[in-house]
Amino acid sequence: MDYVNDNSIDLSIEAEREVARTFMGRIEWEMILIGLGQFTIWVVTWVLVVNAIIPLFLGFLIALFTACNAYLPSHAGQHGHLSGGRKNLQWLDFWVGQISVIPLAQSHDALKATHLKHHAHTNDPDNDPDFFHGNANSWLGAVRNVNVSYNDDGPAMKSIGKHMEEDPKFKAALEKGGAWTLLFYFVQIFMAILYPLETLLLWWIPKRVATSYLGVVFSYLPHSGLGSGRYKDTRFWTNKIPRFLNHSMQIHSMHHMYPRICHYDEAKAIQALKPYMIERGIPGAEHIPDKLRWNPVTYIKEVYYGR
Amino acid sequence: MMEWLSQHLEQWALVWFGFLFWGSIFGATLLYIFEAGLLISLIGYGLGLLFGILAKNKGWSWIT
Repeated sequence: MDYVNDNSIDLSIEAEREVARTFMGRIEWEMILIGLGQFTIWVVTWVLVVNAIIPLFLGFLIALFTACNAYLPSHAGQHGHLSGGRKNLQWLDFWVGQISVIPLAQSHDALKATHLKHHAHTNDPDNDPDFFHGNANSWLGAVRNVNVSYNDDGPAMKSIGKHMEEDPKFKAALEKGGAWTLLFYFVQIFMAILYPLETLLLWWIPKRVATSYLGVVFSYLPHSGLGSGRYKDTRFWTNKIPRFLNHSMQIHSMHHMYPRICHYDEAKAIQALKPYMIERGIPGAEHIPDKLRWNPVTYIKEVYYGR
Repeated sequence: MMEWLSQHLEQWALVWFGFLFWGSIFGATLLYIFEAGLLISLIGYGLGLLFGILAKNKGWSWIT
């Protein structure tokens, strides 16, 4: 359908916002289930491995799966999707988010602070903490970069240091998150002394693999090589792998356009907002299929991406 | 106490992590391979300490 030349559709920004608002405000229970569910599976895996009920290599495979699903619920909490924006339920955003990223040994508060800076400055080399891995030369480069970005003098730390100087709220959030980081530091050491190979294979390696996976599908594939700006910094893409195995990041443009729309509502929101996305010139929007719900998006005309 | 710990870890966190975390893992790996005793375990902690010192010098926070 030629949406742009269809004069019956009001393509104003006000009309766009009105449509988008209809997809906002619900409690994303799916993410609460995934966050608490994957953490429970991870803990049970530890118990089963330590008691020699299942072999370590099987535990490793399960821990890889749970670690790869650990971030998205925290991400939903960072945007208030778990509380649906209700003030009396904001504890869900924090606690489900924090519990979910325990397998990644990360602080939810710190992740939230840096992620919101990513939204505010997407693809800005000096201000986007995700720029270095999001704009690597290849997906292998993104894997490398996401793991060294937060080294003491890593590129992400330069932008984080800059924000800490300029934004007291950002600094306070990182300091608050520092308590969790310190806790994970000691707990990992304690667990390694008690269960060294289990800690390596159920925690450290899965967390590194998950971080690499996230660096590629969350940052590199949607953002690499694009400019800055609300409608220009994120693309529709495919790597021929069903989107359910890519955390649906093929349609990440929706999230950058309206971060308050829940992850699991993005497909139907895009179906409604497609004319506006084409009108605004979002990269690849003209090729996305009309029906996205339950569509694996293994093919988007001319928008194959991933070297 | 907390302030002292915080300042100490700012400088030495990677070295301690290399020594205790990676030392335990290296030691357990060597024990798994060689099925030997205390000496092998100590070699593991020595390797962990070296790894921690190297990480401190290179700023390799990824080891944590």
